[in-house]
Amino acid sequence: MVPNRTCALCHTSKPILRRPKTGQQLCKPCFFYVFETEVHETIIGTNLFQQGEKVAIGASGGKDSTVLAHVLTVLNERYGYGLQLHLLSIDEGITGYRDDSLKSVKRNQQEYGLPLKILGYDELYGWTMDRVVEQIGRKNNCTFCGVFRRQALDRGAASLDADHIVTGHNADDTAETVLMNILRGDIARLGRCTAICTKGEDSIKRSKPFKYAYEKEIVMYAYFKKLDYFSTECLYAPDAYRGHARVFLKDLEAARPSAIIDIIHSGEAFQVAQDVELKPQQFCQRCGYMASNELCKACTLLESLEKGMGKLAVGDRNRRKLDDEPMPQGMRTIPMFQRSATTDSASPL
Amino acid sequence: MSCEGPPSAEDLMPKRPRYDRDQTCIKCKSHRGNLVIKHAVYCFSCLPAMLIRKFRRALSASLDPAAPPRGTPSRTPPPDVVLALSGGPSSTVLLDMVWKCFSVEGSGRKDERRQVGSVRAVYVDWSCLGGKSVVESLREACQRYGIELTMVMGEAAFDAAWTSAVGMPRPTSELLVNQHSDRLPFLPSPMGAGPSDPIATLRAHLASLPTPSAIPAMLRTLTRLLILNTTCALSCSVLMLGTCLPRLSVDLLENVAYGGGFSLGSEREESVSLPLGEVHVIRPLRDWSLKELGWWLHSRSLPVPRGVDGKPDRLLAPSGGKTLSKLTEDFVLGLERDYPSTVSTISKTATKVVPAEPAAYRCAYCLRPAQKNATRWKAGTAVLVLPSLADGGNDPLAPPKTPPLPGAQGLADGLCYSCYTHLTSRGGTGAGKVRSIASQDADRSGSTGMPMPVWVRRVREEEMKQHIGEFLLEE
Repeated sequence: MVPNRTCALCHTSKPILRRPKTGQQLCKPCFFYVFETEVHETIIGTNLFQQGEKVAIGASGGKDSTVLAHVLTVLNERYGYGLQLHLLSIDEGITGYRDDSLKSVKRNQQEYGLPLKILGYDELYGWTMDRVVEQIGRKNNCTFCGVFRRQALDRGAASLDADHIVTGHNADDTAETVLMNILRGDIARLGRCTAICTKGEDSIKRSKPFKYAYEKEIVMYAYFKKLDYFSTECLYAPDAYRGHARVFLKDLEAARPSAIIDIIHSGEAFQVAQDVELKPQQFCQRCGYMASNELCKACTLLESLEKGMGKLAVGDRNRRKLDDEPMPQGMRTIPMFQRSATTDSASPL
Repeated sequence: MSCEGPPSAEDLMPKRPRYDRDQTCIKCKSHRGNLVIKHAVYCFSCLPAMLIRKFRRALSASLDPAAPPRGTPSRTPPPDVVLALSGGPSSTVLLDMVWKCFSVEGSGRKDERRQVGSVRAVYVDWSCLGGKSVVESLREACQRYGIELTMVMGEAAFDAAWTSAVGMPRPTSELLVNQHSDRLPFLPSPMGAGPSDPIATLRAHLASLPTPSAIPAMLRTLTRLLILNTTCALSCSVLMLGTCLPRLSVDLLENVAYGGGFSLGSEREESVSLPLGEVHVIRPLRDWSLKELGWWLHSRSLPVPRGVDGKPDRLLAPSGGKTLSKLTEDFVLGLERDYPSTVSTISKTATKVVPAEPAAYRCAYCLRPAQKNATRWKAGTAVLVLPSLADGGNDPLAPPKTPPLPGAQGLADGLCYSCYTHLTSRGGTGAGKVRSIASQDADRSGSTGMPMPVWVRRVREEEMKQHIGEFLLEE
């Protein structure tokens, strides 16, 4: 593409990039301005935060969470959100991957001066992902990791007494999730996956300020700001099925860049029909975390690992086999989930 | 792992039967099976009955869900039906199935034949874009079945003379919009311009589209509207499309990728109000896999007039890069190979979602329900102008403003999200090639604005006021 002479926004400086989202050729300061302003408008337009809220930033050390920590720090200061920001990292126990990425989180902590809490799977569940993979192999290990991480984040945030968890999920992730839920027929998730903020009963608010930010623009922002992040993919094989949807989405984006935003819009434009029955939410009888069955998914998976039957835990077909197996002596369980009430009375920004 | 012995058979949940592991037909349980369909084995004698039953079931569910049981005479007269033919495998099967089920010669039962009234067929010919017309082969096929075929030329969508044939008010002049502005403002019609050449106008319309992906999408919409209006003009109230399961899944995913989630249900079934009446669109082959279609064509020795690559949108496919349509098709066909049940899951998912809010109006282009402010939502997802250039400083913590109302009214206000996307979304692979692939003589495009199909009308202020009159207070 032939570069324009001047930036499409300020019309004075020389452009150095083409925005993936709009195709506009911009200079560096204008790109920073639009990127940060769009995140700010997402936050303000959706009343995401409340003044004085304690917010835990889910920090993995990857590009998304690194940029999120940076941008939230900048916006909090610039617009006076009055947020108490904390970094919250989950150590899944993947040697050669998470230990390295946590080093980058620690460097960011020092740079932004934010308090950091690291909670490990080992500490919470008594299992590291290395050991999980040792038992179940690489197939379906993402299911264990995803379920464990979700609960670990909630528990980590509860221990910080945080009101809100923010994650670096970007527009590409949201669009991919819409597609995945359609392909899997997961109606319950399809109905809520485009919500910018989700909050179960008695659980901490969880939101995605980068919901409309393109992944490529996040990388651009990190690149031009020279942010320190860890870019290696997880060592354990990615979900092959999700990989299909991801490749498809990238192809769509190449053919028409607005496809990502268009898919998110589709997801926001429909809802689950009233006559479709969804499982009511309840609380896990063993650990008190929110669940759709008697036991939450994390307790079920942990039990299967403890019984040495981790391979049977994914899917409902083998549930009876798992239940019939007696509990081993001294089986580890997840501690009871306790958290103080959130401060809903605070005023919005 | 447990060191105990293996559990006995009673202890285990019974496995779901997978009939393809057996050699015997699951219907008659006597003949050797010949074909496996979704893990069930059928012999060649039971398969046709199963497929006809499937066709009838889908048809009954769509035509009249509260219909009296089989054999009970219906009190309402059966609807007259139009079959939309493309010349492809699905529409060939549709034509044959309708003949088999609803004609005396096709040995349909008397009470079942009463389900539909007269049957006609419609074909939209896009030979003006350089493709081979299959109208002669279709005419022969229809003659064999005793069904009358009506041909509509694709360029009729831009022909003012066609409007009177389908009961639409004849436009006084060609509607032009400025495609370079996101609001798609209307442009004045050229002074003293006589009736334009419909083919040149069609080409100018396609050449003005911003991406190659918009071409197949818009051709599909034009085809759909031409068929719907013709159905109405033929005094028929039901339009049958030969959409099979993989095609339906492609259409649904494509619709999601275009941002058309609001009207997702319309891809399965819809009713459209037109000047001459209402048309109910149904897809009785929507549960048929490619295997079932292929077997029916083979067993009945049916010739398929159009080859796989004969679709009009393929004629305009850019040489470099792919359109969203082709990408989605490749993706779904790949899924059918690797994860076969996913294709039907996509279709089932679409039945379980509904629009998140009531429709505010009908899209001026595709006539599907549209949601309020959909086009402005898109404009609000990216900062396109610096505030100092827009309207000066403001409170940084104030909620972001909806993009400002333009001084001049534009077509964007009357479009649904996906049509707006097709007409305005820029960039991507193959962008810039549209002009050359859609227009042989692109003289008209760009300079004079984008011409719109004849049913797209400029909504006057008085008409808008009429719609919202009850909510307006006296000034």
